[in-house]
Amino acid sequence: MFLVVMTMFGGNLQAQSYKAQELKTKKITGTVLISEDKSPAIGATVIVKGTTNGSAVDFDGKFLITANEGDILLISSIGYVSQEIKVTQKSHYDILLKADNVALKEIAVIGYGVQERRDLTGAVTSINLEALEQPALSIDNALAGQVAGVQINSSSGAPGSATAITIRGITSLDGDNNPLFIIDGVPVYGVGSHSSTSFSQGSIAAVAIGGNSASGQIGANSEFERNPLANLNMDDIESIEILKDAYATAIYGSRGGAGVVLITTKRGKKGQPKVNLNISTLVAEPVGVPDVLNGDQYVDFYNAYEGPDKDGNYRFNKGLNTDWFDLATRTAITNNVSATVSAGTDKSTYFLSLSYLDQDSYVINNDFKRYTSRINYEYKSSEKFRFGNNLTFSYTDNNSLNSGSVYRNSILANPSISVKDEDGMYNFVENKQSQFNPIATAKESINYVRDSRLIGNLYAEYKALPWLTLRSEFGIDLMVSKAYNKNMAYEKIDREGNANQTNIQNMKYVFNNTATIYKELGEHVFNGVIGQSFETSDEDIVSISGEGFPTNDVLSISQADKPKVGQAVRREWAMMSFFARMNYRWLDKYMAGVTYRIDGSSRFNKNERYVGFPSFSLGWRFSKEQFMEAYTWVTDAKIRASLGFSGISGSGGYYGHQGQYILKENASKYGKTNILEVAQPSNPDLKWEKTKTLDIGLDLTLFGDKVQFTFDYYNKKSVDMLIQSSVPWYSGYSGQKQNLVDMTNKGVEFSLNTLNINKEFKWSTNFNIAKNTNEVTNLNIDGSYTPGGAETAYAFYQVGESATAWFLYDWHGVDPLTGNPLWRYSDGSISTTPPASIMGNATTDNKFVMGDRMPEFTGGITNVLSYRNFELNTMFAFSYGGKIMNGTRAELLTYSDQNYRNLSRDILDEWIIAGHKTDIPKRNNKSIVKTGFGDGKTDYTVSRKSDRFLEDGSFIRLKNISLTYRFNPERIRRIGLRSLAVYLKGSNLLTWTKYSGPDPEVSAFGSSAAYAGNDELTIPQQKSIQVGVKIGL
Amino acid sequence: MKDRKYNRYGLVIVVLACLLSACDKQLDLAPEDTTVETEVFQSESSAESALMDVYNKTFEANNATSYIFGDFSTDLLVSKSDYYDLVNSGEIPVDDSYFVGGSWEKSYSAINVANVIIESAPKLGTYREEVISQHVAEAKFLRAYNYLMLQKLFGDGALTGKMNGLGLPLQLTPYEGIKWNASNAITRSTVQATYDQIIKDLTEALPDLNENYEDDLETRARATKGSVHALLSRVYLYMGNFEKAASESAFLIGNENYRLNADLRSVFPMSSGYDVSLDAEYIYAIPLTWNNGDHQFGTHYFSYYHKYSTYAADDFLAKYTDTDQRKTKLIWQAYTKGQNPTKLTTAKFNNDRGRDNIPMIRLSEMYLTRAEALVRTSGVNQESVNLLNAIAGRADSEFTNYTTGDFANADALIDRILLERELELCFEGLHRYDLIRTGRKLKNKDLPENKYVLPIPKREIEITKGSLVQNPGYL
Repeated sequence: MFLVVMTMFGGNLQAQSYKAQELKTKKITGTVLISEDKSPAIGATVIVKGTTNGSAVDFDGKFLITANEGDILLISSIGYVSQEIKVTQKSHYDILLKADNVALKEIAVIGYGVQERRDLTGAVTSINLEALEQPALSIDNALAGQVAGVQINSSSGAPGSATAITIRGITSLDGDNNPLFIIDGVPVYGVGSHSSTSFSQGSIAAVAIGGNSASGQIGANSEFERNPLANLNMDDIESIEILKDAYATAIYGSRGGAGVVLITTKRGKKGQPKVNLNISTLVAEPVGVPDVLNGDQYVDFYNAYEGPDKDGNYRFNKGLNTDWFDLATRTAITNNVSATVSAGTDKSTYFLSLSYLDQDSYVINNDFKRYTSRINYEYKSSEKFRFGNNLTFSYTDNNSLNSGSVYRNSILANPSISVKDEDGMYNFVENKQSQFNPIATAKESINYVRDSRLIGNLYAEYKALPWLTLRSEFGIDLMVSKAYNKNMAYEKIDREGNANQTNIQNMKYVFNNTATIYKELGEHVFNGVIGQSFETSDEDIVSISGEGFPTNDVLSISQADKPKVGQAVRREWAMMSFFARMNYRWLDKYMAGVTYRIDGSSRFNKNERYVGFPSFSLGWRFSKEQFMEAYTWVTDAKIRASLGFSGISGSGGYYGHQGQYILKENASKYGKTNILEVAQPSNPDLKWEKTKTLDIGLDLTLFGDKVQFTFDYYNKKSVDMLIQSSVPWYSGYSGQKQNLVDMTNKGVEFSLNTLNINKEFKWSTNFNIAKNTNEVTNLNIDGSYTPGGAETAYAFYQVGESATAWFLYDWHGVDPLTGNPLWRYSDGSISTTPPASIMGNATTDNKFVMGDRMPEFTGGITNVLSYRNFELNTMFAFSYGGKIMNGTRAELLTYSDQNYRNLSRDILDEWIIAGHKTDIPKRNNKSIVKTGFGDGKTDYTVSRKSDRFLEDGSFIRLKNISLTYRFNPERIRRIGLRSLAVYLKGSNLLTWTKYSGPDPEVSAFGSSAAYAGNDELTIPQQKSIQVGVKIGL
Repeated sequence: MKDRKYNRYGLVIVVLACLLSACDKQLDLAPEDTTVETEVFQSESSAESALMDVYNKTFEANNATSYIFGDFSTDLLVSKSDYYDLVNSGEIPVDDSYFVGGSWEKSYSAINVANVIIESAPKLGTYREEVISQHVAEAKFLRAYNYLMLQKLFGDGALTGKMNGLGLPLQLTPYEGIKWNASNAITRSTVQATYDQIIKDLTEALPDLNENYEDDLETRARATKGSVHALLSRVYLYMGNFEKAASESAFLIGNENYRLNADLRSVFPMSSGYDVSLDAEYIYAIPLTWNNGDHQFGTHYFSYYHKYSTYAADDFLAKYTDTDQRKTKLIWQAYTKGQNPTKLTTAKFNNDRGRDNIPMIRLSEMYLTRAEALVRTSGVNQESVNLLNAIAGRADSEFTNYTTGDFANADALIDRILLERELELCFEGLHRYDLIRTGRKLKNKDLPENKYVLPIPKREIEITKGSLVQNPGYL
């Protein structure tokens, strides 16, 4: 077993020893083929056992070796079951190698090492991507619905935007809730908040003075959050492991709290170069689109609503019906080409890849291009010493940053005006807040972000003793990025051109040193690692902006009339860690493990800087006990339990503990002296957010290998979470981020893999389902908390409730007699006065818990059916019980604030006459209330703080369906191919949901699950059909 | 072979040891776009800039409603604002965040930065000792100024001699980011103890302050020996300690740094909004026009120019003679559009974008304080009459000087001095407190005395779990 562990760890090296060659007399020939497809087992070795006499199998699968009769030939190849053949009188042998699925499957990559899957005492799920014939174009899609307890939610349909990956519920109220991603040992983080590109480009935030405004309105003005995994070529990935419980994640200490995703890329394999090509084309359109009024309906509505002006004229004229959405969108086409080469000798192996992806957004003139290359190389200089690298360089050019705002504006735009006037100049949709033309934005504005990123590591490994391996690893993540955004000048609306540019240079390196121990002493097996890691990150950001350019063609901000430096700053953080793990197994039945990690971070003050994260686990393989002998159908059965700590470190900011001063920006002097203002008080007690997780699991393998069942119960307690908490004003501040919040996530996970039929017709199923419930158990001293406004989706926390609960005013429908909206108060009374309009009420008054942003259950079911050369793969993902705030509908029913949006067709069902039952109130109703000074009114009917637009977001979605045809190897060998497969694949083709918005998988406020469940005219995902071919040379 | 192996072990251990020893240093990272506290006090100029934050926060705590409350709650002004009416009614909610919460929060915010200077400048400061002492003294002056402001607004009975009344929670150390716990809450000191702290700060500040600065603007905008004496005089006047009020104000009268100007327009020039100098009559003023701000940032938010929410009351204007400069020059129509185009208003704040320097303590106040205090301690006297004549005569060329014989008794003279105080210091945020301390009625004649103060913000009482006790008028 040690051999297997070590070879996997090191990357497919075989330990062989050579003795002096002996004279052999008999020439033996033969072929070695793969039993499955009869293709030559290129690179397999044939050795005369006990000697150094060996030979490699050639390109046609043939070998030639000299041996004596009675010698034993050992035929082996990585990934296949080795065979021994005794040399008889025969001089020709045909050998078929069977795939060694067991060996591959049973090794799991864990933090800083590997472990036999059957010995795992933590909750780790592995996904073998190599097994997938046509991987998704991004890793998030590959994971969707595959792993119990892992929820994947696209935040928007813009290519390259971040996806929410949430493992076992939300872990932090403040930070992001995405797991830690580690690619070949290098932690990789997303880039979001520094990017200057905004979805709300072209519109200017308004300060409402007079006029009408809508209450609780949200604009989709979040910054573009980049997907940290968008740079990865899927064809490079060998496996993904998801570490869920504390025993698995505690080795990542302060960053493991939200789970860890380990991505392992492919290594070269010994043998002749194998080339794989994957070429595919995909066509896509949005999964759904809201229905809006046409020009005439629009004109009718607003003219009737506003009435004529004092000269008897109406604001809008009938006659034009512009379908902005149709003009702004297209059928998107995506092309993907990737080529990989893998080869190796006894001394060295390599894996090379190149890929090109050109992905259109369905919004015109918006696309995403990605180029990647990879070199994974390993050289073995002696029996004990080897070194190598895994390096990838990628370049992404994301031109689709405007797609969100173009989509949004094309739905909101007034359909009664034309795109261009008679002179061919763009018309602009004008309203109180902005002037826009989505077609002009899509065609003329520039908005891109270009990232060049190098991620990789160099390593050296020395096997000091048979049981001790030392390894040093230097990892790097270098990113150079330029974001540029230019809005053109339009004389017609007297708008100056403006541009902004952000250059980022991030340099991160990590230095790991580990000593791995593997020792068997009779029935006692020890497997451990001890190590040290130093990681540092240096982030350089310069952003500049300018207004007023000589012409629209001038792009350089130096030519702007009013150039301005927004930000010019370098930020650093560093972390020093020590860690150790020891797994122990006795009699192949009893397992125990302990891990410990100490992290020290620059983000914290000296007295809170170092913190240790211990974890413990126990396992009992009771299938090995005597009392189980009768149950022969139980192949393997194990109970495991773990308890441990991990943390979340990023949420305290960079220098959160230090008192800081900055030069005052506006009104910057007192007398003649500049003012140095307190930016934040010192916070010496600021410390790590921590999670404490208890996990109890059961792993069963039944009927040989046919049924695999895993069950987990967990109780994850997040403690000392940061929150902006109130302090008395007399202290000089109103609040400070403090470690106050405690919260629990409890849940169960269940997954079942079955091989239902295994004949010529094969059918296998993977089913998983998970349930998670969250409760805030301790909050700041107020007992309730609103973290911000629209940008945090009006999130609101209260002790005893879920952190992702909706707390809303109760919209009690429309009174059929009067057409006024009705509201329910907490004393049970019903009134036409919106509770939000009552001055002096606390924010919690008359609000109710109205369900949860996060679903109760999530899961997926995958079926793979194959018959001869055909394979059909279907994957359904489902989600049950989450509630979505349909801000899209709210936005499209907002007519009272003089922004003259286009409206949802639902408005046609507005209340007209007593007795009319509808959920659309009459136009001028009692929930549009005069507020403040002057004539301003607030429209409470469209508030996102009421449950009017809260809908059930449950869904079942056919995420993927694919049909593959693999050509017979014999047939294609004649045309020089090793393998050939063609496939047809559909994504997001069918969805069953009650949700009335376009896409139930939506998150308007980025990837943090704390703000999930909002739809704000967020650009929906694509549904697509892909055709591809995979060629092996 | 074996030796070599151990050598390699050794090498690894050495490498690890090196990394270990260096590691803690690697984790001491400081931001480059902000300044941390230890660096602030390394140089005189950055420390001074930090001190300017105290001045600026004092301005922020004393602008807008906090300042004009002294006038709109009296008969000087007609209120056209629902909000002012609410404030005047005594029914302002205890959770009002704009005025009640805002003035409390902002004053304490200024006090906190003053506390930082007072504690950190001597501890961390590496610049000249005498300048450190001066910075500390300035911060103490500002802390006292802000506590007096809070005392006037929140201290129960602070202006009516109720010395055992509820004063303020005295926060005298910087906020240190401790995890908040209601059991750490401080309680309200008595009115007497609050005054004592104010007097202590001012007395301690006195020796370390200059009489004046090289730059005349700073002489008027920063703490000096003069401004400390002037503030002390105001404190004693409010406390009813007239002997000391008289003696402290004496420091300013005849002082070479301060002079009454015959032309009141020069004291309150038409403001361009930028870099308007401060007349020699100012003892302490906010040089708002120098703050590099614009109409959006750094204005005083007084609505006197536009008359949206208040304008001058006719009854009050009738108290002036027709030749009084304070009427001929300092009362005007200002904005002729808007809601009250024909009404009159003060020209002391005449910039249409709210950018005027703000008087905090003016020399004429000291004249009138001393005049009043002397009468109260020694009856009708020549010096008081002279001081009154100086102020009234400066404003009105037709004014005939009083003699002691013009006043039948001390009260008559006091009433005349208080009238002069009203005419002279109107719209400078002081009238309300003069009315209260002299037992006269505010605009709302029915307001019970226990509502002469604002309520302690509800939030503070909740957070401290009742350690801070509400003012009796709001229970």
